[in-house]
Amino acid sequence: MHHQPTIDDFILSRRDFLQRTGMGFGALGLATLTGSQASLAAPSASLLPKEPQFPAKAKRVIHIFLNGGLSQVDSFDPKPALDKYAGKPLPVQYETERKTGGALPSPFKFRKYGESGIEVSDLFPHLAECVDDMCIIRSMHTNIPAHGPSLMMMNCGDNQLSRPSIGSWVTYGLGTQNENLPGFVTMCPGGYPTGEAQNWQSAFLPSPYQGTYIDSEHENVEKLVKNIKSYYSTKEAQRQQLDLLTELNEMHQEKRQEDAALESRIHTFELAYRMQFEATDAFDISKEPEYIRELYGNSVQARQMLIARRLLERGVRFVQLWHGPGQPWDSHDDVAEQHSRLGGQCDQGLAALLKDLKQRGMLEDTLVLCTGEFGRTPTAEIAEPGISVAKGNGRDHNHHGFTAWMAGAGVKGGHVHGATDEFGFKAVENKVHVHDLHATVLHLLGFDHEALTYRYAGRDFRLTDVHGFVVDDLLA
Amino acid sequence: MPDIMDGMSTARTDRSLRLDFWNRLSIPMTVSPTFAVTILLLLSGTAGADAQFFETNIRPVLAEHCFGCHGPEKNEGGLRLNTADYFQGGGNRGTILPYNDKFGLFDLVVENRSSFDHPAVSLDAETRSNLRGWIERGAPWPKPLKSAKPQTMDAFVELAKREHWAFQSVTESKVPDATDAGWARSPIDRFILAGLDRAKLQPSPMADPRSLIRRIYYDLTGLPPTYESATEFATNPSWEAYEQIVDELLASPRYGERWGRHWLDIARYSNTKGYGRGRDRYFPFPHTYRDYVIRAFNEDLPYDRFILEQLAADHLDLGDDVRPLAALGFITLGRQFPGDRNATLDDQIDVVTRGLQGLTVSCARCHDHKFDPVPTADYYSLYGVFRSSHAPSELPLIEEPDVASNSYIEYEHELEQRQDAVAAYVARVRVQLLAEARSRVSEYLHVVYDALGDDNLDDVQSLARDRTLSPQLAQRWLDHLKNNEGAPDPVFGLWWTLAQLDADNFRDEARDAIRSYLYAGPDEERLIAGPIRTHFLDANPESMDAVNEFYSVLFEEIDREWKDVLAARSQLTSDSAWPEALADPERELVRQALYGPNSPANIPPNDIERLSNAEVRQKIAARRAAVREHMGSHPGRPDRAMALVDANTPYDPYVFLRGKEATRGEDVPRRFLSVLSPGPSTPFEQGSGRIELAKAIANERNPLTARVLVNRVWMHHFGQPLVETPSDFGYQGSLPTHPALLDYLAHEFMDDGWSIKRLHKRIMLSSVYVQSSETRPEAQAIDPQNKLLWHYQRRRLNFEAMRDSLLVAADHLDITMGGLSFDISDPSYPSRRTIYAEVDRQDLPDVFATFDFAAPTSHRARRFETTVPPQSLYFMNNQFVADQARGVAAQSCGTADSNGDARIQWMYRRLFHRDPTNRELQLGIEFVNEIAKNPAINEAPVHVKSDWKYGVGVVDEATGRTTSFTEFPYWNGEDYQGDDQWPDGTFGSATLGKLGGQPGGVEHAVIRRWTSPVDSSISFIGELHHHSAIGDGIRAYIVSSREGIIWSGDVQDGLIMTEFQNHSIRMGDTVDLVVASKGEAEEDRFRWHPRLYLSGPDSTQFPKQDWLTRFDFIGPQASPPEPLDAWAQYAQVLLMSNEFIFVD
Repeated sequence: MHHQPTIDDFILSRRDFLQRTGMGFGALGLATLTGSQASLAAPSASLLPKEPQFPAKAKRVIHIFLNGGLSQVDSFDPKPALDKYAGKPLPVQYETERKTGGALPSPFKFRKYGESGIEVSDLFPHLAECVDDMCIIRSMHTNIPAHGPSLMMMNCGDNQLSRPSIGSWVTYGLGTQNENLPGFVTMCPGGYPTGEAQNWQSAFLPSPYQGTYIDSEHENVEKLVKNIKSYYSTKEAQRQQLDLLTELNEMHQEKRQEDAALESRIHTFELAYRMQFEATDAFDISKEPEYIRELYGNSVQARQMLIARRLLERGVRFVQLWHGPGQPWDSHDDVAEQHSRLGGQCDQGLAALLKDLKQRGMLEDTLVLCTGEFGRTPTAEIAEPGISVAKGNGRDHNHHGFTAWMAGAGVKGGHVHGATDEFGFKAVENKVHVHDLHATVLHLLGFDHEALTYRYAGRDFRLTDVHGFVVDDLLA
Repeated sequence: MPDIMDGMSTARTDRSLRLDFWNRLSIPMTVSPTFAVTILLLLSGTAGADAQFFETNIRPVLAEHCFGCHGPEKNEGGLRLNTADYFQGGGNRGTILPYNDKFGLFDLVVENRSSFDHPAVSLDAETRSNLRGWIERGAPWPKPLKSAKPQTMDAFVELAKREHWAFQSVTESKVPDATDAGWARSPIDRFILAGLDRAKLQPSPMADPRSLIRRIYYDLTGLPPTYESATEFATNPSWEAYEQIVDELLASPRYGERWGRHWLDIARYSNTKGYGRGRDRYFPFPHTYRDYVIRAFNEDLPYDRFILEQLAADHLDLGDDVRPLAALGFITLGRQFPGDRNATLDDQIDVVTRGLQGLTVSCARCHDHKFDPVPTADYYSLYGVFRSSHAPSELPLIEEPDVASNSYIEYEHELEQRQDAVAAYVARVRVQLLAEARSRVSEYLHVVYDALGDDNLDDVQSLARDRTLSPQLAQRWLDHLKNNEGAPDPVFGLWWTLAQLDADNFRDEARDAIRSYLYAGPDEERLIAGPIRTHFLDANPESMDAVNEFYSVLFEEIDREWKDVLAARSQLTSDSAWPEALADPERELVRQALYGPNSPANIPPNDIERLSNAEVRQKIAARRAAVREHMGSHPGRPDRAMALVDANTPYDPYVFLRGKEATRGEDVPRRFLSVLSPGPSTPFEQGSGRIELAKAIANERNPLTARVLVNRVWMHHFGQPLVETPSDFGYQGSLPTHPALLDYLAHEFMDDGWSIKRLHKRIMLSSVYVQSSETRPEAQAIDPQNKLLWHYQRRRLNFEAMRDSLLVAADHLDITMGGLSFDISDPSYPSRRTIYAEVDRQDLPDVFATFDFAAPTSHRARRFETTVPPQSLYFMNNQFVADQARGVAAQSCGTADSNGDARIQWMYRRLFHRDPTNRELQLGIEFVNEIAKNPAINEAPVHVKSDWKYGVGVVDEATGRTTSFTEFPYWNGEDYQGDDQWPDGTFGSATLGKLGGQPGGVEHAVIRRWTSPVDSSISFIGELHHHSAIGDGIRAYIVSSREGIIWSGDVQDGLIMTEFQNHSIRMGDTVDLVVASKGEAEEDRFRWHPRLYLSGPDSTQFPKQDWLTRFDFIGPQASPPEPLDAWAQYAQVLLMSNEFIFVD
């Protein structure tokens, strides 16, 4: 849907406006308008709920980002051959960011879970219980073994250039279902991930499609949403202020002819007024019953997953959850210890999220996506003067092969797609590039990735640029 | 050859059908009426079948049913259908496509579902189906000119030069005859009238004087008029008075700040590079470009000169005033891509071509432009120009410092300190590197020898890497040893000789080799160091290993001897000289091999950086960045231009096939775009060619330069441009709504000496500009988009004008011009004009994004305009707005006798430049009385008393107690420290912030002290990070006042978990989180923001159970903001009103 939004989508006459607002605000959404009717042709942005290009199951997405790079051979891609080669060079060796030496067997034990019998390591004991709902892609690959470019690729479909993020594309395509909340929310506890705000940029798409960043280590909604709370007047006084404002604005407008821009701005103050309550409510997990909070557990990761569920429930279209600032999963050393710690932080919450979505029926139309920017080598990183002081018990970046998983709307549960070589180094069977993953995600949401485009600087841009194939095998 | 043609057209048709399907869903109705069709035409060509279908089934129907009203004779509703251009351009209601759009006239006619007044059209089912099918395919219209895209790019360029409107030279347009001589005041009006006449529309009357004066103030300065000036004009409005105000505003320095900002959008101005952290993210002198632009507008620098300076000021004769060098920021201030020069150059090509020429040349980076006559070769011709230009190693000064000023002296002093810091750090690293290098000499000898054995000297680096030696240093050893082949080295000459021997017969050959080396003939007397000669006289080495072993032992001996000499010296009195050599000259020769200036183990200071690891390099870079940051940000600094110079040897470009540098295509010269060159484009000859490029653009014969500029200026005056796509005048761009007017303006503009101020005047002194913004229903029905400009378009203030106006309302605006940027997110919000705010392209401050600022990732043609709740929340709840409201209320009180009506009147005059009506007075009084009844009680929670204190102290490990604790006396807004000077005399470098800090030496461990408000037990979890391999790391303690040290740990260059469980605690107990230096206080910065939480069984009864050090962290004077009183709340409502934010 090359929906360069035309004003006709949401220019409303005064009569239309009243009618639609009478029928509920869903019709108007985060109304956005250009200056007025005469500049109709100027680009403008709408967050109105929109229909995708074809019917689809997935209505919303939660993207869990294990930034730094989860080790596939320690989680979802068991490779017993590494034990045989422990400490010895593998018959295959590929170039990664730094020098690696002999094979490093996984310190984690794998077991079969669920009816599907898919093997998962004891890094994720809780999540493993949900394996029958998960579609595990063992044959992911990307272009570059460096965090910055690979983060850009996973988020924006290009290693380097300024392109809209996947969340921005989805929000552009589908709008939001709740005008009182942002359409695309990105949470990272404790600060920005590597690459900072570029990871959720709207680039040349209009700014309402940009991810709204929230530091989920905060518990206070004021820190979470800018200007959400007034320190300057009471709620009652603010109501009176807005009543006066409406009256003055209407007097102003009476002297003027119908002008959608004026009307829209009047309306937006009312939305903002209500957003103060809605947003506060959405981020307040103390409103969850005890058993739900117990299900998720008491940790920063768990809390942001629970907030994410509340946001999705309230109509936010795309939620992205980062594990932490910088690149926490980047275990160049002590992979056993570091991955255990990181897995321990998010395992229970991840399982709880899947179970909770399922019990609410939300898993049917919510797509859960879990990726890193790449995976890790099956070989141990070794010290190299001037470059690395590796201890020899960690893993380097690996763009040749890694694992991602999906669950929920339209995705084949209890399924493994593709494979890496005998050692988990390189994807060899049914390879899935990040572009293909993007194409598939858009497909699940009802878009032809080649046709969800936006015209900018003289050409039509899309998330997958000139690449990408929908991976049919992942679809239920 | 019908079969070949058919084959081709089939393939193309498949493609186009597919496109059709999506275009049908997606074609924007109004934005670019032609592009979708054009794509199809270009792709499908005059596919024979389409053409035939059109001629047989479509054109006759149109002719029969439509041309009568929408054809050569008549254009009802502004619509003609008799040519492809007319058809694609649409009418007053919009365009025909897409077929299912509600304004799709054609659909309504075809489907017979007319929602507007259109006579019924009776068509049979087959005809309807034909029409529908045709439109669904994108309405391919076999128009010979556009459809027959030439086979070669060269031919396309030639065709485009002849055919495409934007490539035709600008000629003087004939001004149409006026039908309404009374209304038309300027030639511009007659062009507009001609369009209105065709649509049978009347122009609007002149706006009322108060609206008009507000309009021109905002238009030219981005600031409101005063009540007095508005009243003066309203009382005595005249054309002369109007013209005089326009002149005054054009002469105001505020003009350059308004229009300069428009230019900064085009130039994608930003203070940051787009990557990097901390100081390194900033450009050094970005403000000099911003100030240059403001000055250029204020001085009405001719636009052609403006272009020359921005592209090639370094090639111009500037005389004494070199400030225009700052203009080169246009090129240099784009987004930087570390490690990808080509991306940075692409941005430069883009800003020049889209920004100045309205051409999307960047589309030709990987292949010939899909739609425009821009071959890839042209892209790389420009690429060659910019690749041949680079920043000078030292940025040129553009002002003379006042060397006597305190501020400059302070600047110089600090600069010296920072430069010394770089040198000192490098020296320290060097000491470590040298020690390492000297202690492993034998290993380096080994690795070089092994590399020789491999017959592959290139391998020495990787061999070294395998043995955890420094690859660079190994290379240095190899080079050194090898270079001694000609003139043998007294120490290594023999080594090298032996290293050449066959390893298998080493023992046999070595004896002879040693002899002949030691006893070379009299002519070849060699200098051989005594210890070497002595040893080898009798030696009979088994292998090279033995030789290496000997060297190794010898070096150790000599090194020890030298250190003993040095140690002995330090026992002596201070006036005795430092030893310079070993006493024995023979042994000194060996020492020289380790310490001498030519020793491979002796790394020259300049090589330290190259030979260091990434981390050390980063630290050196950080210190250098601190120097640069100081040079660019200290108030006493002399400013420099972010200039560009030509490379000594220009780069000769070649085409990168598919945009990849590694795949080489044809060589191309540096030269101008072929489609814009009158004849064949000739190669540039002066250096990079930038000056020639600049002259080709800033040229009266260039068909685009003036057109693109006048279109942008028109856009900012009217809210909409004449060409809807201001940065794309190519085949994909929109056609001008008033082509003759565009050319008229461009022609006059050049005739006026490229004066932008005269262009403003020309436009503003027209009747079309001074029209009322009121609309009329009957005109609205014909031209709802106001394409024909039958009224003036009401506009919303852009972000800068809005913020500046809020400051003006409260009389807070600081009109200081130029200089360093301020941080708009700073809670103390400097009240300078918004154009001086720092623009961070990596992380644009929220308020910019909220109000539709042009994100400076790349060149922006226009700003989006959105209306979203975060904007309203900003007005309702942001401190900035609240403080302006307070300011308005306070001033209204000061100037009136506290009579309510008078205060309201004062506010209306200040904000709206008019008096309030009785009804407005009444509403205001009622509101204020009502609010005053219930005084605003701030419902913000009263500030929670903090359980934390922050200070420095000492932990005594023997007793396990914190033996001293002193709270930090100073808060810098983010961190605690000893004084506003940091480091200071008392607290040293001790500092503590929300995430971590730095201890200030052994006596100044930094401490977060938590005082328990409850009886319970607590647990504790966190990670302590320290990242520096230099120095000796840090030690952390957790000290309880009840039990002493309950946890401690050391960390250097890594992280440790800091946790304990269930420590029981009584109310009033303290727990200290302490980080101490070990021996050295340098490189002790840490990050540690742990979480404390109650874990006792009774803990749920306490209101607060979690202490996140990060979020609990507050400065000393944090206090909740004051609520607004009734009058300030009233003022806030006025500031939120549409009247304040819209301009009629």
